[in-house]
Amino acid sequence: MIAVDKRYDIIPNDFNFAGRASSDIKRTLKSMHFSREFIKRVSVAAYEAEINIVIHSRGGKAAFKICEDALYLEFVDIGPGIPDIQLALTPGYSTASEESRLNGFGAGMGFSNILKSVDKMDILSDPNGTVLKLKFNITEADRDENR
Amino acid sequence: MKIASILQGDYRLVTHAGSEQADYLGVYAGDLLSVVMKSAQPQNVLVTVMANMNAVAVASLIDLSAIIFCEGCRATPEMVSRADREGIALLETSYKAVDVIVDFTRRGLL
Repeated sequence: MIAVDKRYDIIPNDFNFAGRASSDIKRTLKSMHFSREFIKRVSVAAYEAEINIVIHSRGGKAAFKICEDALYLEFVDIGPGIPDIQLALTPGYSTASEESRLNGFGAGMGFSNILKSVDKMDILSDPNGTVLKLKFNITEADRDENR
Repeated sequence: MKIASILQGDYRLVTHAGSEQADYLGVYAGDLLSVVMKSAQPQNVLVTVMANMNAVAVASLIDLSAIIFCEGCRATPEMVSRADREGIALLETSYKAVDVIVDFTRRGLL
């Protein structure tokens, strides 16, 4: 059964709008009484992925689904793609612009924060765009809001 | 510890009256938001010069209690209203981050 199925638009270079999708994902999980630890893992990964689209892409979309014992996030953008994924995954490596850095981004920690948070990550990228799929397994403990 | 206990000397609460009644547990200082998300703990007070909406968004995502904008950095009205909605206290000070930490240590606020 699909318990949640939501979609969001992500606007490039709009630092005031950035984080709206992640905030809604967090609010939804809170209303469903997931554990604080689980909500933090999902929110941090969602925010990093959303910010990546804001600062690096020409715009994109996010999808958020909960299906039985797994939560899925999918981020799709319309380019220009990641030329070297291995390099992008290296902690500390960043190609963020000066404006992004002034907004507090560009630490080069985005993917390492995502990898620390998820149970599975798939990434596909070419100049037409990037697809990032994240999976979080949901355990009994994750459903306990007191944790 | 209450946010109110911080409000002596050069600290100004800019969110609504009453927001200083929130509790906090410990302090984290940093400006790069990915590093803040990695290392700050729920109910921490964030000390930063990153006075923009993204800092408020991160504080909300990881359940921080308050943000102290140091070195004279100011919160915009939009940041204040978002922080009010999210239950995050915003404070401003002319202190540098290191001076805030020294001040907290001296006053037993850590």
